[in-house]
Amino acid sequence: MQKLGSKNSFGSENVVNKKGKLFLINKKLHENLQSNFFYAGLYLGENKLGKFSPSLNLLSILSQQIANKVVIDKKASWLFIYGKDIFRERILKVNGDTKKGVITLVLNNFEDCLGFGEIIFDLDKKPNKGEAAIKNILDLGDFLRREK
Amino acid sequence: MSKRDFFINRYKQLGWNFVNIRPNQAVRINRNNSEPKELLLRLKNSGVQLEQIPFLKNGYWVIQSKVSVGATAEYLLGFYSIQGAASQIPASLFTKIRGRKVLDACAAPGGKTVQLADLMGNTGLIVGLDVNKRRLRALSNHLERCHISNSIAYLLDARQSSVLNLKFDRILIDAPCSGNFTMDKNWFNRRTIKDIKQNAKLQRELLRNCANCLEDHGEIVYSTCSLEPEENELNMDWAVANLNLKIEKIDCYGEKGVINIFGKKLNNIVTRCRRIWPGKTQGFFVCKLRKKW
Repeated sequence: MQKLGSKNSFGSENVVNKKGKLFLINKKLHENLQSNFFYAGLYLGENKLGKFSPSLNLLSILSQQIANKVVIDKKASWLFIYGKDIFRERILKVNGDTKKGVITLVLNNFEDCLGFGEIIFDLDKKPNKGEAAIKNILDLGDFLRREK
Repeated sequence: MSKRDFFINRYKQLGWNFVNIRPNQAVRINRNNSEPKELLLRLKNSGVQLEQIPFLKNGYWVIQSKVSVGATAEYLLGFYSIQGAASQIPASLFTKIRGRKVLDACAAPGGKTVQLADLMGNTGLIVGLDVNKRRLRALSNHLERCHISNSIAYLLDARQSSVLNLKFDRILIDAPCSGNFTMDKNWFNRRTIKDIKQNAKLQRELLRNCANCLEDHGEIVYSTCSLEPEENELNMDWAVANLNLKIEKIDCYGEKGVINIFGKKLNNIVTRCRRIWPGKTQGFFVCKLRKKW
């Protein structure tokens, strides 16, 4: 979450870990939860080999707070949820850090969170022709790809 | 007599003349995640035209679509779910569901679980059960996509629901069933009376076990997408006679339950069920039961 420029944190008493998968649960769920559950509350992401992969739910929560964000246009939004990277000219607005290597949330022009990516070209510099500025790491299309 | 004619003749005896139809595609707006007016405009701008279904509060027919309604950003953001019109009825029949403890006994792939959570405003608790791990993954994806936060899912046969040691205020049994011909073009060739009787037996086991987990005054909504009375009216007649349950009046789309089944006369109260013959929607059956006290 810090990598995304967020200062948010969840109390550890509200988060349950099931084989590396983290779920945010409220008191009512906590009281009724049994250890053999398959899914519970809000899925936050997965810890795998020491690396945390945030869920789209978590990204959506962070997008409503202070974090690194880029807002992209309609065409780029469509392409992004099909797994494509983002070109500089398709970025309408930038919040937070703009440097190469920074992780940023990607929002559409309604400010809905579509996923996140890594800035691979400083956003305040002029990119080379045909070079993507943000590499797609995770996008909403993942919901469709998982089902296949 | 062909298998097809055999079933069509049964439907005729129940009062319906067979029509081969294909139900309209429908969606349901998740009110926790989106405002209908705004969403309808956004979808219209993407080439998706919806029209409100008169008998459903949050249900819409897909009138025209230039894109797949299962691949839009709005769908992936959980603003709406693709859910048949008749399938939207059962969850809507519960009274005062906010803050309750609810069991979704056969929950996967999750359309009705998400609808329950939406009706509950993500309050209370939903326990969703299913026996199939692959289908449970589909349920989890559905819960995640629609930002549902009040649900717990278990890989568990609802006939063993008593192992959870929980009592529920509301129980949805959208029972595994024989289905109907509108969803499967080979239905008439694949189905036999033996299948139907086996499903009816399983459904009674589900009803019996779920009734044991129901709080006093609690409600069960039972539904199937079968047209066969063995899985519907006959099961409800049996439940009333054996499970300390009574059938509640419901006000929803559909016709009265049939009480003259191939020469057998059922309890009059079974007319309170709703039977939906295929038409604009697929075939469906729904009944609301309440625990006697």
